[in-house]
Amino acid sequence: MTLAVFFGCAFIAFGPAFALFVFTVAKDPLRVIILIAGAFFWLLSLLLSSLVWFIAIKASNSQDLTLQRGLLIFGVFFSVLLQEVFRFAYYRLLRKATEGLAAISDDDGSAISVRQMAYGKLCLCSAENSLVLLGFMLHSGSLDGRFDQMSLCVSCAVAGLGFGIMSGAFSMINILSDSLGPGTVGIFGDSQYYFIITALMTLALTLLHTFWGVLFFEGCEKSRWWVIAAVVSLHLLVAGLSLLNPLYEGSLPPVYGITLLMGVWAFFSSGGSLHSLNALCTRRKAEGESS
Amino acid sequence: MNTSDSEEDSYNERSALVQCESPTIPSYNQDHDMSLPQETDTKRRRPVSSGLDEPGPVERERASTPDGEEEELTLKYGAKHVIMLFIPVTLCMVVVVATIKSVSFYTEKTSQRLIYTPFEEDPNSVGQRLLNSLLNTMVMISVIVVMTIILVVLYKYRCYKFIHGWLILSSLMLLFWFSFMYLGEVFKTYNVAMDYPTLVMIIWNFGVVGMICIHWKGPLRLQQAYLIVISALMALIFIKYLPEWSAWVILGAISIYDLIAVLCPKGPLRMLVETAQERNEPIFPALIYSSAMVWMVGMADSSNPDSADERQRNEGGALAQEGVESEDDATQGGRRRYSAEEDLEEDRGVKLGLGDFIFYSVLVGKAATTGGDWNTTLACFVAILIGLCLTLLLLAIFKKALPALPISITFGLVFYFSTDNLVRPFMDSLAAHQYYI
Repeated sequence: MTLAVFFGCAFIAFGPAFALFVFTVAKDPLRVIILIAGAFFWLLSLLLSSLVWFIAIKASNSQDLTLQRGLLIFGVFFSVLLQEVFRFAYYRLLRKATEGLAAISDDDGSAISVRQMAYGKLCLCSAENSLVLLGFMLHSGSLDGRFDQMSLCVSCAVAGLGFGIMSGAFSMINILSDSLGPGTVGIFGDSQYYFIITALMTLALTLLHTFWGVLFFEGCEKSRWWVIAAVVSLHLLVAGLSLLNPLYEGSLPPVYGITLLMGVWAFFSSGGSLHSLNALCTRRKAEGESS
Repeated sequence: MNTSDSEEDSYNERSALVQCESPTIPSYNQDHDMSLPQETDTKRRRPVSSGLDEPGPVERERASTPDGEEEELTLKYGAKHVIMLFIPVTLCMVVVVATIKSVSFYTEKTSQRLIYTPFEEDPNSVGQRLLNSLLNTMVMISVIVVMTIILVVLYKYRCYKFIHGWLILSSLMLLFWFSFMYLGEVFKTYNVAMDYPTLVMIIWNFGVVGMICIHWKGPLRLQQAYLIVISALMALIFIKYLPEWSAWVILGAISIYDLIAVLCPKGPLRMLVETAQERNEPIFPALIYSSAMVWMVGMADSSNPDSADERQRNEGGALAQEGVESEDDATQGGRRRYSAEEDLEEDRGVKLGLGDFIFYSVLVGKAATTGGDWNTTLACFVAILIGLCLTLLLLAIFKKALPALPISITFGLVFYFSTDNLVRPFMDSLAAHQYYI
């Protein structure tokens, strides 16, 4: 039973993320780096928010359980806000790197001499030049080597996926290793569905982070601040819904509803349309008929 | 267990990948300037390069000019090379973590210690423990410094055979003795009955093929696999035999040493590299992981057989002189090949010293040893990869030999301690209530 639960929950929680990784990220080294850097930024945000929570815990009375619970809830919301701040920071980093690249590539095309850059610029050690070089380095490994709108959009999806994977891994991995056993779920009266609900929530959050990544970056690009506010407030809403948690009916369906909504919004926001969906289906049908 | 001196070198070298175009650029390798048999991959991979260096990040244009007179170095090195290093580093860490989590031998604490860490850590007194770990670190670092200096001296006085022998002895020990121990422990863990004749045959084959691949010729992937395996074995030995606190302090001290040794003008590694430059010889240790792609396939088609033969003859060759000459022949073939296949993969990869693999894996392995918490391990893993990425970025900026340990180990240590002490209680409380952030 334990091995079945382990594999079941692992596939539920990480299956779609893994599929996304294999089909979109793994073939381009640039995207792998963006993914890992996204995971790193999420980790940094978690670190800072845990630091704040830890200080609050240590400064308070450890016997008072309601206070501890209150501090944990505060920790949850603070962490959500900090994650969004770091998402913004990552957006700025990616943007600066690719902007610098685009500025240089205009003259020379995609092959750039490092020495030209070195001698032309003032100081190679400045952070800005490092970012330019980072951008060049990253993009020279990419498939088409040029920066364009499409690649920024893909980068934001990949960044969101990085956030999602790391968030999911941190929530799920310890629980997965515990689910290998031995043990009995709910022996003290807790819910029996602990593992599967955790897996489902992790899946939802991974997908949500990906969609939020796309929306957030689009919002920043086009300076639509209401999109950013919507993303942040929806993240807070999802975290708040999870606070209802032993009452799974109250948390899981709304979260999945929000996930679907975000998915549709991200799809249309990044340039998809009903027409392209239709074309995809008919082309597939046509190919199926012809073969 | 008292380990012999010969394995000290296996972690004496540090990395640095460099842009290797011009012969004057230092390629960094610490120990072995085995210019001889190890040359095989370098020569095979880069017959067009000047005899000196290790492939660093790429210049395809340079590949076509025999003397490396390229003025404009086009930076084609990028994400691809970062990934070419991510994969082996990840594999090594995965092997180490998988072993640690399943085979309990490597996490059992024994009273045996390496002779390099003679002071015992007393768990009762914090001050005493700290002092002893600092003393252990000083002993270990001084052993490493002494070994490096001996190596530089040997290299300066051209005692190549001695270095060669030392190196062979240390890889013999790793490939036979440590893998025998490892296999024994795995069998014990999974309760597999094994007879000695079968075991002897397995270990013999594994070891001999390893020696051939690493010191002579072999398929690139096989050589890479063996290097990853021996790094993992070495890391496991460290994880087992280094005392708790000493291990952390040693990790920190080694990265500082790496920084000093590679960047300071009088640092031993730098001196080694400069000596090699003066003599225009390649420093090529057996214990460097190279990720270069094999381009022999194209070579066979368009090059003339003579140059291919000559190159191969020189692979076992003695002198760097010959190496340079054969490269001239090979460059003709190289240029032809290059023009024939414009979009072939770069023939230069990046190289990373095995010492780096070992210490990265030690850090992640020790993170995996502490309790049942996987978050710490994961955090250290991501931190090390990002550190490696940043190191490669700096490499692109500064274009000279750089130590690969400091940034990654610093990030790894910071993330280890903070995740273990701060994030773990937070995530545990969240998981207990099923709150999601």
